[in-house]
Amino acid sequence: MSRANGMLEVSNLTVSFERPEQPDAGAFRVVEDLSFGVAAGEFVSILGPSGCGKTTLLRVIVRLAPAEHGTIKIDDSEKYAPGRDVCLVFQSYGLFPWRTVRENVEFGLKMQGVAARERRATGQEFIDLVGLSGFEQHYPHQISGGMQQRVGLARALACRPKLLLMDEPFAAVDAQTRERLQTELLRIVAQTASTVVFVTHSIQEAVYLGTRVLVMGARPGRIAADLPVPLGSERWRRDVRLERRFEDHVLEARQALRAVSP
Amino acid sequence: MTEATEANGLAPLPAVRPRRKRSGGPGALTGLSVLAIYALLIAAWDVFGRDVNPYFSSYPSAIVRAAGELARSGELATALLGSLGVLGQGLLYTLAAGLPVGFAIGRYQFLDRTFGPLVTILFVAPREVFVPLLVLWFGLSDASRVIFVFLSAVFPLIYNVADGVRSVNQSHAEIAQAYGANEWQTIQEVTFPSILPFIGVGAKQAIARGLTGLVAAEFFIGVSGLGGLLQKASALYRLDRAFVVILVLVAVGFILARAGDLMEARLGRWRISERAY
Repeated sequence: MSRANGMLEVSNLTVSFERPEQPDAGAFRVVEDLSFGVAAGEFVSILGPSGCGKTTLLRVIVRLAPAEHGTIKIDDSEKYAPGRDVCLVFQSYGLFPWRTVRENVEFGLKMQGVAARERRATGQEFIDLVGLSGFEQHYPHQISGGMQQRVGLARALACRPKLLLMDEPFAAVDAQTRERLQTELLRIVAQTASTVVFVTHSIQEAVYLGTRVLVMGARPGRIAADLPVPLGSERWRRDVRLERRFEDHVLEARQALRAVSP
Repeated sequence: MTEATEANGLAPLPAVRPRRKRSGGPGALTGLSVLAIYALLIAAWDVFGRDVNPYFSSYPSAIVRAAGELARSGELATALLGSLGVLGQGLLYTLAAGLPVGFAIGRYQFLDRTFGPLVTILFVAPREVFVPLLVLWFGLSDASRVIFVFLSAVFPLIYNVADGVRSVNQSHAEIAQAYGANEWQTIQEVTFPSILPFIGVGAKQAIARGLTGLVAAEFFIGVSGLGGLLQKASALYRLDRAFVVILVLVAVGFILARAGDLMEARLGRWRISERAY
């Protein structure tokens, strides 16, 4: 499934967890021999049943969890840096409650040692981009969940990563906010020309956002289907959710998911 | 436009610290009546206190006179400065030792297992048990008193800081790492802000215990400072002077407690506001 000009290249990835409570049972294999590639500019949705290792996959890519076997390359290099080459947007926002919106957005830049003035300018650019101008001095608990996830997105984008990972970023917000955030995400991704891997439980969300939908099977996790979603670029300008072929792609994804669900 | 809609539903929140609200009229009235009651009590004490044997009690105007005497002779200033010096040094060492030790115990399980119980025991043990040893080792000196203040104050700080380090949210540390933070940056950007509220609580307790430790030290380890002045005055049945020292000690305690409260509120700001949420 490798492609030329791959921004992300996952090859034969196997991930296991030790089970300290049952040392005799051996390690639990979460992901086995998983391979896929993401080309520059693609928006790949990863869909799969609970416990199929979607989140684990993202955690391994940003090196929060170790791979047992296999390689991960970003922009053709195994020596990529989390926070610089690849940034993860967390499901529960993952903002630091003691930092203001501005300080949260500038966090990745600060870790890279970017000078304060440049940090401020870049941070402001992305605060504006996600529509949070005027809330720079607020603390996370003072703004809504939807706005908190905008901060999470701005924090990731401010690092100008080659690859943006998103782990069910809209799972915790209400349905209306969620639809609005999805549309805005498409606009922002287009404006920043980002390459995205987006993990979700929602079939509609996967099809609406993705230029490609990967369906993962569970126990152990592997790629079960790779579905292109040719709904055209600039999808945020018109609501493709109103179109018949959107429903066709949703149906296709639903069938693929049904096939791997127990 | 969407952000505007979302923004509109939200009132701007200028102040982070929740302030206690006082209702204007009735509150002011209560304050006045409280003042009036105290004024009445003090006046009554001044009138009837004169009839009591001065070896056992005193009365406000005599206390004010004694305060004047002590101030003029310089005894009060000397005692106050001496006491504050001992207290300040003791608290300084408390901070210098309590933060790193608390941090190490909270961070390394081995140290926690080894020294954690000792800290708890020393935290709850009566500090006066150290007096004979200190006198033996350091004599009836300021050094003994400083160490006694230190021993009084340091354990609550260690205990709270260790507790804070243990309760750092691991997912915050992971997020920092996912954004490229190395170990030192994680400590700086996650651990330290996380434990600030605990440092505030520990420092407040340390100040309170340090002050009681100071007075105890001035009683038991040579007669000096404000505690010594108090003891001397009582021994000479100068109850008017004794009351002056008591009032000064109460004032010092009040100021330090307020400082501790402010510090706790300031350091724990985000935690308080998060709880309110």
